[in-house]
Amino acid sequence: MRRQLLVACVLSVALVLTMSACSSGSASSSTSTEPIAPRGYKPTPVRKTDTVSLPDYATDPNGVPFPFKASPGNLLVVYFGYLTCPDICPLTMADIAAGLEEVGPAVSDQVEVAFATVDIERDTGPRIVDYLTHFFPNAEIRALRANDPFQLYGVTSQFGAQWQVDPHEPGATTYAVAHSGLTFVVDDKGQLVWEWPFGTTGPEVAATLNQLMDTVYPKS
Amino acid sequence: MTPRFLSRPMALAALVLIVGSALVATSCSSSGSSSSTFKSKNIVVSNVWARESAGAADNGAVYLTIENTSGTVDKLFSASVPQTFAKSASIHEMVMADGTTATTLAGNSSSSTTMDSGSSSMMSMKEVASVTIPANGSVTFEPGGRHIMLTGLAAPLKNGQKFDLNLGFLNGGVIKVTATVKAS
Ligand SMILES: [Cu+2]
Repeated sequence: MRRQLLVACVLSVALVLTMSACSSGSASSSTSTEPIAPRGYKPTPVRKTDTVSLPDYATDPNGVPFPFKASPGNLLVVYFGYLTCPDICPLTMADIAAGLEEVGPAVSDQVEVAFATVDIERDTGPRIVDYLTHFFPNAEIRALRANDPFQLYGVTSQFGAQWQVDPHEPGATTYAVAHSGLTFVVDDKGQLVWEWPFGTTGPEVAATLNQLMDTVYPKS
Repeated sequence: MTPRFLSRPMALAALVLIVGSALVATSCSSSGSSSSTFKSKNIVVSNVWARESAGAADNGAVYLTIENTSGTVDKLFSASVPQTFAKSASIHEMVMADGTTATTLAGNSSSSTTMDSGSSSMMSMKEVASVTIPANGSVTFEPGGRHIMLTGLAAPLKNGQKFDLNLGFLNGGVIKVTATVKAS
C-alpha cells in the first residue's frame, strides 16, 4: 500500500515535470513552483495622462477623442507600436494577452487595452482594430491613431515613450521605425501607475495586474 | 519473471508512467515546437516557426534554431522564400538605440538600468549580412532577438500553415526548411 502511494507520487511528479518542460514556449517562465513576481516599476513623480488624447477608432470608424484614462475601477494598458512590426510588438501583445488569460475574468474584465500607432502613415484605424481584436477578442480595446506627428509627440512625451520614423519618400511602403518597447498602465484618475519593460512575460503581467488591482483600488 | 523489487502494481504504474509521458510528449510537440529538423553535412536546423499574423499583416518573422555539428565556424548569409509567398526574406536582429544588440530576451535586461530611471531606450530592427554559427555550437533566433524577416506577404500567415524557406550557409550549403505557423 505504501509502495503504491510512492509509485503514484513519482508518477505524478514525472508527469508534471514533462508537462512543465512542454509549456515553456514563451521565454524563461518554466522554472515553476516559486511564485512569479511583478515586473517593472511605478513611475515617480506621478504623471497625468488624461491631459492628452488621441482619436480612438474602436468605437467609431471616424475616430473619437480618447483621453488616456481608464473607466471607473479599471486599468488601462497602453502600448505604442506599429502594425508592420513583426517581432517585438506581437510578442508584447501575446504576453499581455497571456497575462489577461492567467488572471481570469474577475481581473481581466477590468482591464482595457490601448494600442497607439507610431506609424500614422501606414497604419489606419480599422487595421488597428483588427490587430487588437486578434490578440484581445474579449477585452475592451482602444485603437488609437494620431491625426499628425505633433499630436502623437504630445502624447508620447507625456508618457515618456519615444519613437522615430526614418526619413523616406512620400508614399514609400518600406521604411524603418524605432520605438521604446515599454508598456504603460493608467488608472481611472488618469495617472500613470506602472511601466513594464520590454520582455515582461505573461506570468509577470498577471502578477503585476493582480498587485495593481489591490494597491490602486484597495478593497477597504 | 518479474524481479522481486518490481511488484505488479509497481510494474503497472511504471507502464502507465511511460505511456503517459509519451502521450504528453507527443501532445507537446504538436502544439509547441515543431519536431522536424532539417540537415546538411554540418548544419541542423530545428524548431522553425512563425507567429500567426494579427489581421491583414504585410510582414512576418520566422524563428529557428541552427546547430553547427562541425569543428569549423559556419555562417548563415542568406534566406529566401518564393516570390509568390513574400516579396523578400532577410536576416534581422533587434538593436537598441544606444547601439547595443539584443540577440535574446535575456540580453535585453542589460538595459534595464536605463529603463528603471524612466528614460526608455528605443528598439528597432536592422538587417545583417550574416550570422556566425560557432563550431560545435548553436544559435537560436527567437522573439525579441533575431528573426528572418518576411516582407510583402501575399496573404496573412494562418495558424497551422506551413511554408518553405531556403537558408544559405557558407559551408553547409543551401538547406530547405519548412516553417510552421503558430497561434502565439
Ligand atoms: Cu525584422
